[in-house]
Amino acid sequence: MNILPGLSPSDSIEAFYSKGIKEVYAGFYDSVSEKKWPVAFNTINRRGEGGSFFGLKAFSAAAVKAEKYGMSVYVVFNVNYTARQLPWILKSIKQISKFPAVKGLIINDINLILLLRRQKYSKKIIISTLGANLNAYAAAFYKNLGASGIVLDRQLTALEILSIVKKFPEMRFEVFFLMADGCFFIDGYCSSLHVQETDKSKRYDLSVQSTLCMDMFRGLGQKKQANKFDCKKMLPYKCNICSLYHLRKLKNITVKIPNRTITNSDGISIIDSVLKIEKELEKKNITFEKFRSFCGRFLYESKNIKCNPKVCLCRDLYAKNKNSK
Amino acid sequence: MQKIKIVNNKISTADLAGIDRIYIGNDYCENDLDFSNTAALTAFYGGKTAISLLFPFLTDKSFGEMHAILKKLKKVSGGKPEIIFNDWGLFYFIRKHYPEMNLVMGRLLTKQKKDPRADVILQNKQDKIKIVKSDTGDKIIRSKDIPKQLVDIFSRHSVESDEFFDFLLKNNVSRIEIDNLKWNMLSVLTKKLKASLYFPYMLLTVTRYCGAMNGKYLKVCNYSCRKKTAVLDNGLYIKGNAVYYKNDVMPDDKILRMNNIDRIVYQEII
Ligand SMILES: [Zn+2]
Ligand SMILES: [Zn+2]
Repeated sequence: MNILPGLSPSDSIEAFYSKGIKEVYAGFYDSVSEKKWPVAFNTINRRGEGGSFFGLKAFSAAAVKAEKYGMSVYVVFNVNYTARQLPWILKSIKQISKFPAVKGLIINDINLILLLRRQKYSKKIIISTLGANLNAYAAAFYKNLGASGIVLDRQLTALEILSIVKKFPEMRFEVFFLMADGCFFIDGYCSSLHVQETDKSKRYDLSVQSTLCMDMFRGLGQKKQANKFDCKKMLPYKCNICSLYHLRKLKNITVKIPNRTITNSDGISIIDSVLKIEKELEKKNITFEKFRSFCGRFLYESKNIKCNPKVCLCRDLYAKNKNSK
Repeated sequence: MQKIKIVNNKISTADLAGIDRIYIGNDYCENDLDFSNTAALTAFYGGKTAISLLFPFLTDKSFGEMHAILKKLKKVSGGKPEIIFNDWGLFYFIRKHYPEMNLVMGRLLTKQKKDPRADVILQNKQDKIKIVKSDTGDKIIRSKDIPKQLVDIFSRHSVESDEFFDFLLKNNVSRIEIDNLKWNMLSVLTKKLKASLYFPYMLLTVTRYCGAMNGKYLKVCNYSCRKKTAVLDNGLYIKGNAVYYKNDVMPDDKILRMNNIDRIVYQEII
């Protein structure tokens, strides 16, 4: 399985390499963008301060090291931009694309994709989850615009993913796995301030203390039973691991780990978890039933991975399995 | 200024006065789409108003019936039918199979920054200082300066470039749709592209986890969109799988003109 974790400035490329990681994704911003459009307001990237590399010097150090370890880097510019931001974005893309380790971009802004197409951008274009990639025609649309890969929407089920991916064997598909992934809305952006600083004390700078979905659940909670409502429980934690039994058979699926908001050690422990699951799947006599009971044990023992089967990718696989008996 | 009303699948004469066009469908959820009545609706409304079909984000299951829906629309609508798409997959499908249809780029794709909580920040009225307690003692954090360029990008959608205009016009898209931002709206379109403004609710975001919106995870979809809208103390409106925010201040004529707005889409969610 191809595993794609995020690389934050605090992550160790050596540690990722020692786990067999061959590709990472990373964000970029600099003093020019920061002066006009502070990343804390989700102006350049879905991640805020601490999630992305600041300045060409820091990015260059990581890109050169990645190359040394034979690791590919995909650079993320995954919000929507206004026309006035595009010259800075295009200039930055030109700068960072010079590094051999940089193999492509993860983007979704249509304006940007059109401009890169006109400039005959030579590296890969992968459409981020903000492209709302929910159906096979959307994949065809983006392929037609020059994309070679798609990050599928978090809200698709395993069977929906299988059906899309099978139609495009030549394309790369990334599917989110293995995080207590609290993203509640389609496209993972909610046209809102996303507020995802690594340094939580900086959140104050936004005067906004949480994501829109957290505010929504809090508001709903207040309406229902004041103060006695744990909004965190309402987030759709989903592990998606059961579906790996089927999805791993498709060679063009990449297991994407959205780990850029958590600390270094957690990033590694999540990679360890994927490797443990992969090992289980490599067993000769593994069946879906056996794998499911492994997943049950795995979730029970895991500290940082939670799952709500009602929203997990595997939900329709379960139903299909039940019916076929 | 054209006046538009979004209708559901039932025929109604209520409040049709002064309405120039009816949108049949919705932009929040494919599960609540029902075009079975399109022919009757078109016959009923068609004499008095023009008809458009409005679509939300779609998954593959919705494309199964798409040919039947669009063929029926073509048959009953007489002239060139108009489709409002909020999914690039639907755009691709229609360009491939029905290139003669008029397309409108929906408000979920024009990508405005809508978070109502940004209002105080953009006005620079946020709290300026906060003390955070930590093991190493109290830490004073100051709010960020708000550059004028930041305010500017919150005031624009992401369609504003010659490259994008050409792409849309070449593909038979002659209109885009936007929400009524709480702050300034400064986008300038080419004269060939018109804009529609939704009023008075902004559609902030949608989810497929509508069954989780009530906090109980009943089912993945329990058609909560057909039930009562929850109005939260923080100003959010939750209707089924969608989150709205109300802004009932109509922009002045100058802003309407600047944004090429010649249509107001009236939507009721309560
Ligand atoms: Zn799960
Ligand atoms: Zn629903």
